[in-house]
Amino acid sequence: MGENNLFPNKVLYGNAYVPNQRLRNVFSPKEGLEKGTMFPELVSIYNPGQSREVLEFLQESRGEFR
Amino acid sequence: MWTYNRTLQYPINIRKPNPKLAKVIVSQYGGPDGELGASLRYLSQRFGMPDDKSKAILNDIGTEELAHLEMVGTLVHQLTRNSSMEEIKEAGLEAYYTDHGLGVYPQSAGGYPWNAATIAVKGDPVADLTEDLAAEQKARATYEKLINLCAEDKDVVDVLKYLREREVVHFQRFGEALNGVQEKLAQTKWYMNNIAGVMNNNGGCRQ
Amino acid sequence: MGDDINIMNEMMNSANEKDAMKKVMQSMFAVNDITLYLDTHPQDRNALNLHHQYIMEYENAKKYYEDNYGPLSIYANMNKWTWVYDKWPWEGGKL
Repeated sequence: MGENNLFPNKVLYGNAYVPNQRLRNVFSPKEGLEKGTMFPELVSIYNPGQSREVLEFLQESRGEFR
Repeated sequence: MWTYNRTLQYPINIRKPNPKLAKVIVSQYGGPDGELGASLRYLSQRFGMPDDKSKAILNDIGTEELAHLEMVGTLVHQLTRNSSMEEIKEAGLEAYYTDHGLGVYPQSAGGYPWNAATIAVKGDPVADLTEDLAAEQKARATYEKLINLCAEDKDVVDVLKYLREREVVHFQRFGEALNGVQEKLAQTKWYMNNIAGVMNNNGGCRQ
Repeated sequence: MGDDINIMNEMMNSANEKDAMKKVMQSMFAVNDITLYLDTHPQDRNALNLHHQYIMEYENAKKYYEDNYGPLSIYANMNKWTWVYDKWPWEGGKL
């Protein structure tokens, strides 16, 4: 169906959507296993302590009225 | 049905036993956001799922989660293997040792036995898939906390990073499945907003 | 002298077995990840071609491992029931 589009053509309020992945390049099986996925665009880096940094960032970036 | 493949999905060779780490890692075995719950949730939801793609992804991710359950159990086992009484006491594992010895028991880091109340099967495709998205995020967040706690051991962190990445991928797939279901529903009379009807009648709203 | 050669052979054999097991793990992982993609993109021809390719790599890796080292499932032929005596994956030391 709408798997070729990033999002379905018709989106509904009150529903959650995730952007559709579209196949591009893939890792080799060896590299894929090491990275945890065959798909470069799905790789998510995490280093110890990062979650705390993220919380601090969100707390500081409060957004101000202009 | 399931065939057992005599291999782990990802290699685990912990060189340095560390019961302290096992104490928290066990939460991904039998805790609220762990692999046992994930497997059972998805493998149970698949029965009532009418949508083809969603059914398939529940089946196949549920199957992969069983492989992850095995990996987490392996981590706990290798981290506590051959622990002495001193090491057990130093790790604060006296209570666990009393009830389970050096075995692997499905419980949370807080010591609560695995509980089906931590999973939901609503029999509603949108609710179930949305629950699955939340479950994957909670699992990811839990692995991040474990990585924070286990940072000193590179062998352990390597495995946890792999498991965390798999949750990210699973989230993506459940999202795509949900897109598919909602796309179908958007074309139905139940979901199309009857804008024309509301405009004509005004629905009793004040201007 | 003879002992050294035996030790070296053992180390090489275990290194070869580790490599063979790695190939099995890698090819199984590739099949698994492309399968999840295909479940939500069943019409994607390119993905299906990748699946074919990964299956071939898996079959080769599995055959090589089982011919040389031992069964990977109960559906593998065994001359002796080594299924009971081989190391289990959670015991470590296989890689």
